Amino acid sequence: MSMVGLTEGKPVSPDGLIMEWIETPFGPFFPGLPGGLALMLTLDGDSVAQAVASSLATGAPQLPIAADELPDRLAALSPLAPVALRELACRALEAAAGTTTAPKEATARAAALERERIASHLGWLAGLARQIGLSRLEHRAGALQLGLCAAEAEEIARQAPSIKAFVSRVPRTPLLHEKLGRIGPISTTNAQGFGGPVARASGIRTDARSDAPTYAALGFSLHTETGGDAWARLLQRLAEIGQSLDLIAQAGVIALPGTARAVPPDGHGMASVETPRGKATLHLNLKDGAVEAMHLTTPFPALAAHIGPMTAQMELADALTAIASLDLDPWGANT
Amino acid sequence: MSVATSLFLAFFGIAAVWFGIVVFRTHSMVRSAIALLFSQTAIGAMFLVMQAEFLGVLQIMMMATEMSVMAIFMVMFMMDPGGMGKMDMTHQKRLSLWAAGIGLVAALAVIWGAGWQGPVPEVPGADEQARMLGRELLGRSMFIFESAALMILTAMIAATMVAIAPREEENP
Amino acid sequence: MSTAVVLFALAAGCYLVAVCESWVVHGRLSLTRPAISALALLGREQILPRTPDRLFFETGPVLLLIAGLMSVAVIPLAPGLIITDLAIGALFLNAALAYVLVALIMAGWGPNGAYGMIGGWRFLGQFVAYAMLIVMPITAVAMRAESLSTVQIVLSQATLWNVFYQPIGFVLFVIAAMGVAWLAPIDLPTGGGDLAGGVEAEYTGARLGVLRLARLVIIVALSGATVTFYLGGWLGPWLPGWAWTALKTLAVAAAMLTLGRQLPRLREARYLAVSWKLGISLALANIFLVGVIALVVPI
Repeated sequence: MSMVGLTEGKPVSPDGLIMEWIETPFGPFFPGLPGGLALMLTLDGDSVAQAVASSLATGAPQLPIAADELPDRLAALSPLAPVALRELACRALEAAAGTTTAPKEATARAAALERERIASHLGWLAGLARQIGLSRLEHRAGALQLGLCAAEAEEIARQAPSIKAFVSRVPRTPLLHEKLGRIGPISTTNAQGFGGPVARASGIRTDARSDAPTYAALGFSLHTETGGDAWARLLQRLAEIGQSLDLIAQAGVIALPGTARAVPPDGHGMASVETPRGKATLHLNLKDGAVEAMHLTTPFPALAAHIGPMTAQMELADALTAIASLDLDPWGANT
Repeated sequence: MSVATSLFLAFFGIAAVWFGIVVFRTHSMVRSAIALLFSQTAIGAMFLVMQAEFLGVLQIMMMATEMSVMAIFMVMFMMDPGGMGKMDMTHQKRLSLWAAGIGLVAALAVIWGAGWQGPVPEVPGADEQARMLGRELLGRSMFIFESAALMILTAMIAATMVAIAPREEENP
Repeated sequence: MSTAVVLFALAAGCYLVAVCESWVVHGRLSLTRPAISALALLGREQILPRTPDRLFFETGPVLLLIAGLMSVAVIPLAPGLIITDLAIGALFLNAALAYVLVALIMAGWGPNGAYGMIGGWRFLGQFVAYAMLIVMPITAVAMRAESLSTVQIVLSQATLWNVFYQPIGFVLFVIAAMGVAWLAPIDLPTGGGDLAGGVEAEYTGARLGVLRLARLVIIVALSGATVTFYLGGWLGPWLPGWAWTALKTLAVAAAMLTLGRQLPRLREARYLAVSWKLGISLALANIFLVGVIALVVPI
């Protein structure tokens, strides 16, 4: 058959050429993207024609769960943000019980959350560096992350100057602004549906920590960037690392959220927490001292749905950089 | 001409023709482009055998890059670049057969009828050849090459401008 | 005889460059790592992709190795230690390096895999960027030497090395050389984070060994070319000529390997734009300047 016959009905790209589109998977074990992310890109040459992202991570834990096992089970759900999910479970159980935590314990738990935030951002930076080929930055960020993720407050205070020096050096890496500038811009209107550093980098003042009295006592102030592109998201996360170091120094002691004490046999609880990637919310229903129904929302689905429009017609390397700059966390998304 | 030279010349000549035939016999577009590339490389090798060093090396270098760019154009514009589909690559069969036949007869007539003189009595060394080529290019033939270069540059710029649809300023 | 010496020097150079590269990547100096990796590669399973273009799949790495070896053929180790002293040696080097492009296109298209194919065609884009910038500085170098022979080019630097005479050309040539050998930050065909290995992704076992060896040969050839064209070749006091060539070549290779690790991978569109708008203008200015200086100043 002739070429006209062979190309009948095929999709036409914006530059007028009719080429065969290739469906290429970029996940779940692709180097440079978060593990567990199933990204299927339909490539038109080396431009992205369509993108579909979903999570291949494990689903919800088997219900019913005993109420005092809930924090451990929820923390085990996500290797990237276990402390945040543990804190979320404890807050939801406390909301169901109607109790509040003592200020000292709340401050220590906030410090643990901030420690995880720093570790998460450093891990994200190492992943981004791996993708864009900056091996020295990858090693340094990874080493800092490892030294910090289980450290006590005094140890963190000792490491704080070197981490802050590192954080101030990163934006000065030659050609990094070239690589990340104007990649994957998210306008203020589009960013309304997201939370976390992605929204804050587009200038939206949203943070689940801003109306928490614990954080107000530690002197928390919201930080935003303008521009909404990958470079702004990098600057936003670096600023948040510095901010979290200050909060930990102010708190002075770190303690992981323990198991909730007095939990009623029946009830309904709802809580939210600012994970390193945005606001996560947990609704649970208790019956006979066990959680019989629970619903967890994470920032992942909104961000994953935005990947398609964001990467349309982008060159492949730029599209992958834009997706990496969103800092996706596929764990906990299938609940 | 020594026996070795004749043998090499014949070998590269047959290789050039054979690769040229492969260009049309294969279904894969990329194989076709690369086969043309090696056909031109064989011609460059023939130049080297005939002791035209500069010309031979230039032919080999330019054809490698030109045919590779042609390969990507084929991938862009032809629907079945791998040749594994059922696309029929031939058009206007009768016209092309006639044109090929007439071309063959004309080429043979030129080869038979031309007054070939004997081999060049002495070929200057490669160094001297390069010097003489340089003096020729920048001396007697400068006008021809300059105007050709300007025309090619104009064509490149015009083609690029026509190909880029007007849209708002975008930094790459 | 000199062929054997040059090939032995090439093998030693490749091994030392491999040691240097593993030092840069892993952070630890290990003299036996390349040998162990090579043996491991030869012993590993050879995984063949489904429906490859068999001819291109097999020929790609081999052609890459041939291109590297041919480009080494015109690089002088010392006066008399050169495989073939062609009168048009500098142009021959370029012609051989042009086949790096053909080989990578074959290696990308052959395995019939998306990552490799994109890597191969990306290299064509990279080629369009570096092609002019690797030839035009050589033009200026040949102008000063009034010959295209690599031996003559080295001898013309007896009074002053070209790196001082034509610094613009030197910078452009080194950056273009990093593009030819796809060293970071211009490693578009095999971007680890972008394309999971790109052109190398579908090759395993002995074929991957040939591909990696060919890349080492090309890196050594390009370092040798930089030394020949800009750093005075074998010229230098006290040490014998071949020792100077060896030292300078290894120094250039080490510099090329370490420089790139500090920079993120270049975006292809930006690389093309800067190469054509800024690079070619600078290369033309370089040729003009060298011409003026060569006519006016008697060195």
